[in-house]
Amino acid sequence: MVQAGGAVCHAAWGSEGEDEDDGRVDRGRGPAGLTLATAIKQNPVLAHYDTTLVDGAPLSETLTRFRRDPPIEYTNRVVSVTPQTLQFLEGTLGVQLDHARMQPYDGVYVSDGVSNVALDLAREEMLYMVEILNVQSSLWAKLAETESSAGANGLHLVDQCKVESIESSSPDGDPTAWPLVKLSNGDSYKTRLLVGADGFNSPVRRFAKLNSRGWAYDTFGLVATLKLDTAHRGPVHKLRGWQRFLKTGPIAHLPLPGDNATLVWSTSGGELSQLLMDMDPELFPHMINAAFVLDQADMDYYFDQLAQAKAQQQEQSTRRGNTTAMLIEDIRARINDKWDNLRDESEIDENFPPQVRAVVPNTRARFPLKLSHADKYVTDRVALVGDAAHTTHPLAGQGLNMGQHDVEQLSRALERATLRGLDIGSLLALEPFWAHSYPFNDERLNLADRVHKIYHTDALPVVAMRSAGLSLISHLDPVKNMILGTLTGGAK
Amino acid sequence: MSIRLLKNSVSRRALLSTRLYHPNPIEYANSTVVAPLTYTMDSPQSRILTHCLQNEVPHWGFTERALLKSIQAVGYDSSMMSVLGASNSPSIFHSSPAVMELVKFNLVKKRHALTESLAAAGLGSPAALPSLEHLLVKRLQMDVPLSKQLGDLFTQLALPSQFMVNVAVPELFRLSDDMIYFSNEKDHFDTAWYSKRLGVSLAYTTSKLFMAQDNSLNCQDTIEFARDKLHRIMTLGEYYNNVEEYAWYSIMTTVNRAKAGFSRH
Repeated sequence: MVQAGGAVCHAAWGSEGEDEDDGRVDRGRGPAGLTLATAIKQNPVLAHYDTTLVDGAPLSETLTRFRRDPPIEYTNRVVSVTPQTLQFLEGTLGVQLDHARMQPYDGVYVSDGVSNVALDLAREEMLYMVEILNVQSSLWAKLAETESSAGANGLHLVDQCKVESIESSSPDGDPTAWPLVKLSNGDSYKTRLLVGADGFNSPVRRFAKLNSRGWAYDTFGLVATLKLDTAHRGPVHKLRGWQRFLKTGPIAHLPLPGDNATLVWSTSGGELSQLLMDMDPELFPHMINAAFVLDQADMDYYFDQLAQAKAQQQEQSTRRGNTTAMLIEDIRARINDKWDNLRDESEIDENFPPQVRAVVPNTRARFPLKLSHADKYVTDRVALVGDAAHTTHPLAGQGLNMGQHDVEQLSRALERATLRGLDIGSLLALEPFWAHSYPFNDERLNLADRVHKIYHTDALPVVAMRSAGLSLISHLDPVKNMILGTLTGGAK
Repeated sequence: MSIRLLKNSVSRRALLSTRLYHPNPIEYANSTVVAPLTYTMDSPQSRILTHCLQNEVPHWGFTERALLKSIQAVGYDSSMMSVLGASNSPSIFHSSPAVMELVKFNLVKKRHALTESLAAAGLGSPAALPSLEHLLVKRLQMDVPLSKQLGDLFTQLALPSQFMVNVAVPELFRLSDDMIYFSNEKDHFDTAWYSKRLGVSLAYTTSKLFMAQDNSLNCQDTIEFARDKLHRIMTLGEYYNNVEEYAWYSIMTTVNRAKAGFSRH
């Protein structure tokens, strides 16, 4: 099938070969594609374009089910959404997120695991923790509504379908010729503009020959859904995120509604994260508590014990059980010891996150982290958004927001081009999108990368300098506000 | 088998009857000597020198006396001494040409022995190859029987002379190159190839110097030292690469930001 003129074919499909380590987390299946389709259809200037959304996953089934009948436990793919992104989604696009399943919070308490210097960033409702499925299903609901309404023309949602090939429709390789996209269901689309929201291994980026640079961090991020112990806490404790920079990588603990929280624990090298993946579910919550309270030396000792137990596991199967019991006892004793030495009981609530009671079964998953940034997001007939254009370390919680910002900028550029009577697939129409997104994304990629580099060591001079810097920042409100501004979406 | 041989010889003859306009290995006979030695491994020279390295050098060191004992033991006349040294120019600052040959033979033969089995098996996937550390340790262990004579050997090699420039240094580089080539180490096609070769050479020579003073059983301390040294050098290389990668990334993103700034219209 060949699309009529003025088509926007928007391809978003999960990238294969990504999940070499754990199939449960599919990066590159964010909501950027869905958002763009919604943004086009919600915009009166753009709504007349024929739009096709292609996705490899069974979107309609999963997302409709999630919307209609959400699971009791929270899923493990949770992202932090900035007020700016939320404003774009709810205000501009009119998407209704499921507010019962998202949690606004009022600050992040960042501490250095080596020197214990801390920075308390606080602002009312500075960020929201939202499940990716919540964002996706809300967008899907909006799209389905648009599709079924009488006034909408030319919106095609194609899911469970892979893109087989993308080629130029011109035999002599004219770069301004419309690309031809062939799908696994036999359909083919010839399109004025092809947008790739297809993840890190983006086939659209490869087709467009857009160069991307960066590096793998040799670090894995481990996610899980946590159950908190709120029983012996005061009725109100601050709702904030907690992040501690250990030598092996940052561990973050972010609130979800009720007694739920979500964990992102980055560890360098595959071995350590495998150890965390294989860890006894009994022990894992205690290790998380230990990571927020105890010293680096204690953590090193626990990891050492676990590695030894794992090595000896083949010989004696009982050994593992013994190690678990011993370590749980040890962690409890040390944490209590630490708390007994505090001046005042209220400091516990002030400086340490609520204790983790349990980890929701089957929510532990890990994925490799990398930095990548495409030199250019646009070329004739092609634009890249989301992970296809940039990937980042999750420590600043910016990944999804950058993707949404891309979509906002792209739809703005398309709108202006349409009003001016330009061809929306031409470089002239697309370049402003890149010009506005690149510096925004570069700033955030650099922030995450530098923080990762500075905190990835326990070398004394570096620790001394970063600790001095952190305590300086915590006393300088303008600097603090600048950081908060960047983290919450660059609201000036 | 015979058919295959016949086929082989036919195709070879067919190939040789047509003139090739570019150098091709098929046109040349395989070398029977290990360069830079000028004699084969079953020649009288090789037999004498091998015997000497195995039996006399551990006791007498790299000297004419050790050579003379081996010449007699293998059953030749003492005039073989001049045959042995034939490929080295005499130098008034250096020991006799025959001793230089003994030193050279020691280096070349051990280098060859280090990768002989790997070369014969053919280079398969990098995963099947040993690590650089394994090869370095293997090469150092070959010299354990000579550990008492290493000081002497170093003097011979480091004496500023034509021998050092023509034999000792190139042989060291050839050894490092072989170790990198026949290990699962990444190969480079730019200046990094030279830096890596220099780094491995440095790790090898310092370990050898350490060995000359090492009194531990079977030179265990040397092996440990070599492992540590190699690790440090490789880490240094990694640091350098990371810094270079980061600098390049920063430059390119700055350029891109500037371009993005100019294309806001």
